[in-house]
Amino acid sequence: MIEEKFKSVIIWIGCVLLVVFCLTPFLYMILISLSSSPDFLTKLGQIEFSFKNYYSVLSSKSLHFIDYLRNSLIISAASAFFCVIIAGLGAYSITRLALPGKMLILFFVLAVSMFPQISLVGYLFKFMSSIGWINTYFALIFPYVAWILPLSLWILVSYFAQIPRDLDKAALIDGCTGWQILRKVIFPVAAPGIFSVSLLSFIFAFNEFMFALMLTIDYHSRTIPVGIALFQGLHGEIPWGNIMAGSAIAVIPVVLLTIIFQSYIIQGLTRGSIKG
Amino acid sequence: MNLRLVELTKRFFSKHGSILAVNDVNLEIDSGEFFVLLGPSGCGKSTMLNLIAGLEKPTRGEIWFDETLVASASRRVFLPPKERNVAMVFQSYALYPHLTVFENIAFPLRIRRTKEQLIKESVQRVASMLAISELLDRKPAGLSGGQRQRVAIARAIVRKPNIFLLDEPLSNLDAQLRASTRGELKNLQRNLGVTTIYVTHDQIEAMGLGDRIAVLKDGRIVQIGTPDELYENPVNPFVAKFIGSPPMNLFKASINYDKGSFFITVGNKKIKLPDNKAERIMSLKSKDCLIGIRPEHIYINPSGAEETLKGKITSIEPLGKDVLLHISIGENKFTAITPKMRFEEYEIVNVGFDPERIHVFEIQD
Ligand SMILES: Nc1ncnc2c1ncn2[C@@H]1O[C@H](COP(=O)(O)OP(=O)(O)OP(=O)(O)O)[C@@H](O)[C@H]1O
Ligand SMILES: [Mg+2]
Repeated sequence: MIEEKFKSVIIWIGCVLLVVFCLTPFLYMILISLSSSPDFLTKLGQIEFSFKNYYSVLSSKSLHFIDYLRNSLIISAASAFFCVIIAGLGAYSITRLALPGKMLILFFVLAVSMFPQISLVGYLFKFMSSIGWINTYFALIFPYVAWILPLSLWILVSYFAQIPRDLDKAALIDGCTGWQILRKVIFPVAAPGIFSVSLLSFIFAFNEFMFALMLTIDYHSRTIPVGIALFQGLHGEIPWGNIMAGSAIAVIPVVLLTIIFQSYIIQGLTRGSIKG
Repeated sequence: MNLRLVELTKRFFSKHGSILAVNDVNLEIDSGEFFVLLGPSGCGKSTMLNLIAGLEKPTRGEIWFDETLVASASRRVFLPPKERNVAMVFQSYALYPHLTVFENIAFPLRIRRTKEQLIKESVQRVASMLAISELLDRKPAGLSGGQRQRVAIARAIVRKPNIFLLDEPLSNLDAQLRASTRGELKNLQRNLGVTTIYVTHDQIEAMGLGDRIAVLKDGRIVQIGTPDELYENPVNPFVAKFIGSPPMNLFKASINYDKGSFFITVGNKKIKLPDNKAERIMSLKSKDCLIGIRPEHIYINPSGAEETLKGKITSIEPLGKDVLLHISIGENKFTAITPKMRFEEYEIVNVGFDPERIHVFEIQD
């Protein structure tokens, strides 16, 4: 009994420490963004609350914050969508077809993904310039999909492999074609995996900085992380209030998505499908 | 629908060589028949169902549904499951976990783009037939094993299949539920009149359900017959041991010919074999053979004039109304079922055989 109590106390302390550790910078960001005279290390007591930073970020035409937000949302959503489709098809064939050397394919894909981003960006810039895609959405969507695909493939392979083959067979008997099996059985049954992959790709694309910095030029395709980082260039001084307010707004879509999807992600996969 | 398998063979190739899962099977199943495939684990029962369903391609041989060739290795014919219109209940049920019971049952109809109204009616009809009408809104995760199994059956019968394939559908149920479902299944099949192939490794199930039974071993058919035929005239010791519970007693003996009759020696007693066995005995390759007698055909302390042997009871298992005795006669050990009486361990009893009930088999290695 005492041991149980002790355990739960330890777990509680651990959780609280972890949450405090993770959330302090976040809270600090929110505080600064609400301050009327923001400075990098303002003492907490001196903050006067106001929404003027938010107002200026959202209304100032020269900051293009709304454009960045729109670009980010479109690019991230498109990257997540293509990533799920391609990784889904790949995982389906790897887990369902009698491919010789499928493990080899998987490990090759993993190996390719281990290049550091910086080693590719120079070539990528040349490539995108030569086909004239610099400063378009495609310039970012393509590398993002390629970049997140290996991880997505691995995640989906592990999910699809857990789905019993008897489900495929049952669907075949019930009259499905291969496509219908994928659409009506595999994808819905592996929904937690699909949601995880969508969310991961979305967050990756939403936060990515280096590709976005190199491959975009202005507000036509620039994404939020780069946009916020370049706030300072516009004014000479570092506009902490705008930066913090922008960051706070930028967090909202990701937090919303996570809250919406998390209940799907933690659901059991094939509970009740087969006996046992 | 009448089903015909011709020289059907399936060979699986793996890293460690190849396995003949189904080996040269010839079989004809009549329209509306309840046919059982019976055999030990790994003898190729599921593979045979998969071949019939169109989930596997035969290595050799042909499958005919009535006059339609649905699979042939040599003629390169292979109809996918969709076009064979078979329904299957899987060893593992294989319900769709993301769909409600209603949608699970409706699934094959939806794939065929059936009208919504008709789907509703059909699902409700089979649901009430299988007494799962109250479960239609639930997901498979919220069902018991027996309920899941009913849903799997409902999904199979909701459309009118050509052939109904059942792969050990009762193996996950407790003994009581299994017995009651067995009866329902048999009635259901009678009412629907659909040709049914039922796979099991449980001989009690096979005997209770099948119009005919095929006993399989290592991918081959050992014997086909009605339950009675298999019980009365097993062709070899494998079938003899597999059919009947507890299994038939088998022991080695040599047959002697004396004054126009055949005899075997058990203990130190000669037992005359009936004359109608003569033909069978003449066909044996050697005079050493296996003699079989079922436990229920051994009589303890018989009152009639039968010849008896002295045997010692080595252990006693009460079975309710009857009692199962383990008896040793000389070298040989027997089991016998007899009505309950007072027996003691190590008691010496008189043991009588009905010679008519004795089976004679070739010795196999
Ligand atoms: N896809 C496969 N690849 C390789 N070998 C296989 C495959 N499917 C089955 N086998 C082999 O074929 C043989 C027959 O298998 P099958 O599943 O038909 O047996 P079964 O009679 O249904 O057994 P059980 O009663 O355990 O279900 C087994 O030796 C099995 O290992
Ligand atoms: Mg099987």
